[in-house]
Amino acid sequence: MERRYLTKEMKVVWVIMSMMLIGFFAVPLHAGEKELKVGCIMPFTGPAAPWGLAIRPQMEIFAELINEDGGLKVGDDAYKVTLFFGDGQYMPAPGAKAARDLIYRNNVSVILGYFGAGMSAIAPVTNKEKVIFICRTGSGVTYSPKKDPYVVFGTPSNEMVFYQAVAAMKGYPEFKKLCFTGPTASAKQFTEADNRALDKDLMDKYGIGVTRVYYPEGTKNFTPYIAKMKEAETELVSVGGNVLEVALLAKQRWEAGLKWPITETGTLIDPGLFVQLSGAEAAQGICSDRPAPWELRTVKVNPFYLEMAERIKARFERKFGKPLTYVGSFGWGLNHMAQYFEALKQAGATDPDKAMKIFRGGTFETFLGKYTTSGEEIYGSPVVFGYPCAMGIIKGKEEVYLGENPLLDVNDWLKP
Amino acid sequence: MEIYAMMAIHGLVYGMLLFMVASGLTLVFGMMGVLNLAHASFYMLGAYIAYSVTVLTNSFWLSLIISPMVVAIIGIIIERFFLRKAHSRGHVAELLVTFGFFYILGELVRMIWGSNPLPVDIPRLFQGEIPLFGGTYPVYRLFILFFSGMVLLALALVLTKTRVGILMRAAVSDAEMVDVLGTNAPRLFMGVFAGGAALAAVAGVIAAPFLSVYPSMGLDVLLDCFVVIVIGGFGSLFGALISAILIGELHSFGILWVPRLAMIFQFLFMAIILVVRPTGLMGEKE
Repeated sequence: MERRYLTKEMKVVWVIMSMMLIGFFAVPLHAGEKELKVGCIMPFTGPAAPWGLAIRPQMEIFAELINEDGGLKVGDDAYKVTLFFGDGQYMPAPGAKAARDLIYRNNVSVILGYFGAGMSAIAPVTNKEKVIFICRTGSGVTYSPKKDPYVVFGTPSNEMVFYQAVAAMKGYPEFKKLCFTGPTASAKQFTEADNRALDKDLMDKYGIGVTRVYYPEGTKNFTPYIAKMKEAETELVSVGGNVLEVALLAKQRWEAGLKWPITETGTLIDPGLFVQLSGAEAAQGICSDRPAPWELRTVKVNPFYLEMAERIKARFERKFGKPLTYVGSFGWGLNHMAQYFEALKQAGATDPDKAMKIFRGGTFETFLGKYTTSGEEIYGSPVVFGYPCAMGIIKGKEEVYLGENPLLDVNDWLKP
Repeated sequence: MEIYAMMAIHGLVYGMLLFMVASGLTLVFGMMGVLNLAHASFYMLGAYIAYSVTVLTNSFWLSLIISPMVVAIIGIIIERFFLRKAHSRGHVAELLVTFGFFYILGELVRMIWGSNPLPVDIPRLFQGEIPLFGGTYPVYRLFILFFSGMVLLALALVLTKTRVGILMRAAVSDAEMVDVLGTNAPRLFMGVFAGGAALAAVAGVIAAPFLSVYPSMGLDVLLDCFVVIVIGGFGSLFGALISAILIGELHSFGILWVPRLAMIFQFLFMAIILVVRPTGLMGEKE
């Protein structure tokens, strides 16, 4: 019998048909797995890039761990979490562009992790498409559930400024004069009325006197400002500037023979950088937000998130061959993810309207304890959380725990 | 009273630092008619080279010698091979060449040293503070004041007591006549351009321990320098000195009295000068 051989063309047809069959059966196999597309806008280029670059890997690890645990359980479904990142460059226009890309190209259902100053540029993009936008208080968007129905203030950065300052002053009970400083733009986050209310509370509750000295953006020579602070008998400085500004302020105050502790509102990227820029001696006393779940003393963290934080830490070390030293992500990207996931779980659905109903006035477990959101306005800020406002301080070449001053529950805060 | 004395010294220190950068710029403009935008990059480059030299040799003083020399050579290359060729096409072409080098040098710095700010330690001799006017004052700031005073003195001596200085002043007044009288004007221009670059580099080295080293430091100083030479009068060294000190003091006392407007004062002052005396405080009418 004559053997029949497949011609070259027929072989190609067979291969293509086989691949198509495999593809046909393979798709339904995974059809039961749902995907939750999460967008994140952070600066990956520009002067604030070190923060975005430090936060991103930890968010990716959190998503990896959730997926390995079987996905995010929402109602009867399990969702595979997929992260998409956009570079907001810490500026409004690139932030809005990143939001459009994430929404229209990647179909994300939420944009979170945002800590730039372009919220008022991004919110109109997200609101229009019913995409939940988790950002921070201050810098552009005022609380208005009607105008911004899908905006959530996931990090209470306005309140943190002075609660952290108080946390630092608690570490130095002998100090009673606090000076708020920062670029002039940061002064605009608070109205005169907010400042008056805050100053009164700080004096009445803690006996702390307040002075304010703001400097123009881009200032490098702080000497005249330091002279003004000294004139106001400052004992501790709370600065809202960037890394270089904080380092130069610390350095120049030390050169002038002044040893004030300096709290900065951003989280330290690397204490070594401050030691290098300010000098080893002048860097001592630089304090910064330190939201490390495993070392909080006043705030109680839910065991699930405590364990998850430890797993993120361990995975990070295994993956990158170095310990996780930057803990700021627990106050921003990771916590925004936790808030969003908790809201979806409580809503039992990924529908943005259902999730927003939970967000307004809801209470969530997070990496930093129990958060309560509220529509009440405190010092011009709309949301009150249980944020720990934990502070670390540079000692030697490392950052160590200094103290905590958790944000009060809104009801306690409003008490006369 | 202490605060006023302190602010006056702060203003003087900042003004003298500004003068060191602006002096090279105004000399180059006075002689060559070139508004050298790359001048701010020489200041930045000086600071970065100082960083590398101090890291390698642990000597700030060596960086104060090496850095201006390296930057002067870069200045010579730019003048000889680019600016001189653009000269025949007029001032716009020259301006564009220097504008291009402002960006090229900025990117080069980022490629070599990265974007993160870098530290330069204050030399041990000038660390710490001393009692002054009932308060304390950093010794290094006083060194800046002293050093810039010395630079000013050296410049004044060169310009008034040496043959090169006389030729330079003559070239500022009438470059063509100097050329016709047998002086190698192109070489003189190259020397002045290199000298201006070196002066900017010296200012960068001196500023580095005080302000740190970072990629946008050139841009930060550029605007202030232009204000200084506009107020002082283009090409006038003495005008630049007076103007730089005035800007420093305006800046310092502005912060004390009207902090929100402190940054506007220098521009307001410049606008007034331009209306009242368009040639600047010490500028000469053409």
